[in-house]
Amino acid sequence: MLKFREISYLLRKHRNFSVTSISFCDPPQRFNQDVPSFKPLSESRQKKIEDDKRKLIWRVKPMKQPFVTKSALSVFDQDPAEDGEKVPNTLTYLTKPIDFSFSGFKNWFKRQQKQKEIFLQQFIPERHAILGNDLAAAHFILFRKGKVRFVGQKDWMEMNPNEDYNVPLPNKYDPNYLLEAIKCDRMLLYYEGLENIRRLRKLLYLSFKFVENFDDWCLDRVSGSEFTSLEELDISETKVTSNGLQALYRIPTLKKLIVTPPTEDNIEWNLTIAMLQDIMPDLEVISSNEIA
Amino acid sequence: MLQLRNQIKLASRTLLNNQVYYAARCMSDDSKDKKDKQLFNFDFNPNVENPFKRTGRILKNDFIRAKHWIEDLFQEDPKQKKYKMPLDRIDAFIENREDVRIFQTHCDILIIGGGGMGAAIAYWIKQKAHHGLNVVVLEKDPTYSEASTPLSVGGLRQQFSLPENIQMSLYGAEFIRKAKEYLGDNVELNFQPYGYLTLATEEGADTLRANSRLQNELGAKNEILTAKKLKEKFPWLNTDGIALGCHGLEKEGWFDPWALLCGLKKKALDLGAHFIHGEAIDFEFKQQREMYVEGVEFGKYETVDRVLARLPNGEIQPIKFAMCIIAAGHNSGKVAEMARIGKGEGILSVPLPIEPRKRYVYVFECDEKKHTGAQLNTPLVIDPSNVYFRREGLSGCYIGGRSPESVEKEPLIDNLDVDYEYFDTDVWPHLAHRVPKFEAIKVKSGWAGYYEYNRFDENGIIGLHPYYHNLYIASGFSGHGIQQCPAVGRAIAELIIDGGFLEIDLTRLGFDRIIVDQPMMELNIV
Repeated sequence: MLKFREISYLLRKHRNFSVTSISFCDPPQRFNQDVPSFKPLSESRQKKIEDDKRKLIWRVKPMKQPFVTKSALSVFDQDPAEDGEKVPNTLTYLTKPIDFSFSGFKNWFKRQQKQKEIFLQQFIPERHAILGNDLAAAHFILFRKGKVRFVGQKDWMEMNPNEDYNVPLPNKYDPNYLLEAIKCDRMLLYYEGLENIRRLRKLLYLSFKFVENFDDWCLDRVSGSEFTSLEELDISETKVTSNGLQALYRIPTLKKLIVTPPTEDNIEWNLTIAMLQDIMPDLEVISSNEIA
Repeated sequence: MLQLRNQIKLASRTLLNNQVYYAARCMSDDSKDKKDKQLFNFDFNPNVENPFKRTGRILKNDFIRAKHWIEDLFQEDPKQKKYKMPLDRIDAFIENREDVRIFQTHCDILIIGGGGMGAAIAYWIKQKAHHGLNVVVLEKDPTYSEASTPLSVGGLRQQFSLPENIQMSLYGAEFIRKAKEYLGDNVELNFQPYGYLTLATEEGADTLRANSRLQNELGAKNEILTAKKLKEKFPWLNTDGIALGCHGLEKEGWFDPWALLCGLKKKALDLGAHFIHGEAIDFEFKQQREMYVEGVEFGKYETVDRVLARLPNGEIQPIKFAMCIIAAGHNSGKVAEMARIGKGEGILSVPLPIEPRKRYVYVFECDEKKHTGAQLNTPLVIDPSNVYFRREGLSGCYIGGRSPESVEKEPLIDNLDVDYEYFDTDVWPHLAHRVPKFEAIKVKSGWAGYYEYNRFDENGIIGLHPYYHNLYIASGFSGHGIQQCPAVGRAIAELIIDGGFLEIDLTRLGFDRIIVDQPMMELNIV
């Protein structure tokens, strides 16, 4: 769970639309930790778990018994998990072999950048609470140099690359703004970032062309993101395999799918496409080689 | 079953009544008493290698390797190199990785059982401690012919009722997604995003809805569908008697458990763990008179010190360890009995309630001329009668099975033969009722595997044993272990190295719940 300082830092950045350089010192220690895989439990459930854990203690630790006088040495007998602090990974830092070569340093730097980017792309519940699903997704995509189009507009809207982030969109929830089309071509988009694009009821066109990190898991997430009227999906030039295509049955309204078939003739790929068209007769599968 | 619960209740009641309060003197000192030395007997093993000869042999090997390294610096042809031999030769691969002629007689952490759990624990401990801890994994069958891991269906789902299970499978999903970063670029787990569909009748509808709310709170994504919506989405389903269904929307599906096991084992070997082919036949104990353990009479404490491993050539080798982890799958009950768990007094009178239970998985085909074949919109469906089935591949094949309804119907566990009559009597009627096109299916083949079944509450037992200060248990997952492997491996590694659970709090799944008789029941066991 993000601390208040980090939430306000991120919200300030997006609300004022000013791309001041991302400060590396504020707050740096979170960038080294993974985005957590599960959310924290609610208060009532946490309380029940604490009750159960208390019932499990059927004997008292020798150092914690009431009649044992506390000596000064008890400072070494600390249970770090009990006291609720995170132990620094001293053992790992001391024993991990460090690669001092130039390529090792380059790899470390690349990994740090990637972790920072994933951290910045994670889902912020406050942003969606203030802006609503459509506007929050629009801001997310526009900030990362994508293109969006709202219902009732004719042209694509995008961020001007030379100026600061200054897009004519409201910064509070407005029910008149509904997303109709999203283009994420060539964007640096991660699995964690896809959580921001969910539940867009009027979305018709979605494109992830040339997004390198888009793989089967991302397609699994997109298919389960409750796009109730999605008609056109472009996933050409990505890392999607025939395994991921099986998840598309969850989007029954899909009419047009643009994919890049593998270079060699792959029977699994052809069979999956054929079976997709079996259950969704309106679906038209186009190969990106025919378009370009 | 009733007898076991009475036995556990009696044991725990006597235990709780006999709490002894003594002053705390935690000095663990080797006693100089002569009587203690008699506990060690070397009769069965007269061929212990002379330690001086062993040292000489290891040093000689080290010098030979150094000589090869120097020679390689002047050798230009890469195929002639000896220190960094080309890895396409299998003998070069093995020799380059570790010297198998040096048997690990002493280690820091010994893991009994090298299946999914054992390999995951070895990987995480080595990942955290690198060369700081010497980890040895003792596996009795490197072909894994009877192990549960490669025989499992390999499902990944978040539709559980216990928060710890949901958290562990969410972490497992993230680990499997990032498997290429954690385990290396050539590990391919082939995740297929099927989704799971759990069906419930009127009686189970409230529970299903409450579970789904809990799962969504914790970060899983699933939707509740009424019978009408189910019929729209899955037209092949017969919604007779079904009130609600819970359909998983992301991170649910099937992956390759054998690839995960191989990936974990290979990465653990890369990081320096040792996998030994041997079977644990007994433990050796060491008396520690000055050790005080709450619940044990002072002066009578004995701890596990060495394990006796029978190697494939018949000889019995002792391996000394500082900590031992029992991750032996369905054999964990037997291994625990070797450590006197269930056979001693006081805390040791409570047995480890893990036993093997045989489960069948049947492969059947739908007659494609009469009915349409496997369609893509077939997630893994779990019927209220506990029958499950899923699509396998793309050409009309399905996999399905069912756990027996009662203990009397449990099959015998002496071999892994498949009983096809069980399919005809217990599985097919429910399948045909739920999916009308399955009236005309043909069973092609099947296989059987063991669940490491926890008689107490069908959930894993993870943590330190209350009597021993150096014996951990990570077993008893009753059929949903493979998706929890990464999380449990990390939890045990954190317990040992960091002193407590950091990522996921698994205190409620410890051995203590058996003593206090607080079962953590899981409602969605398949």
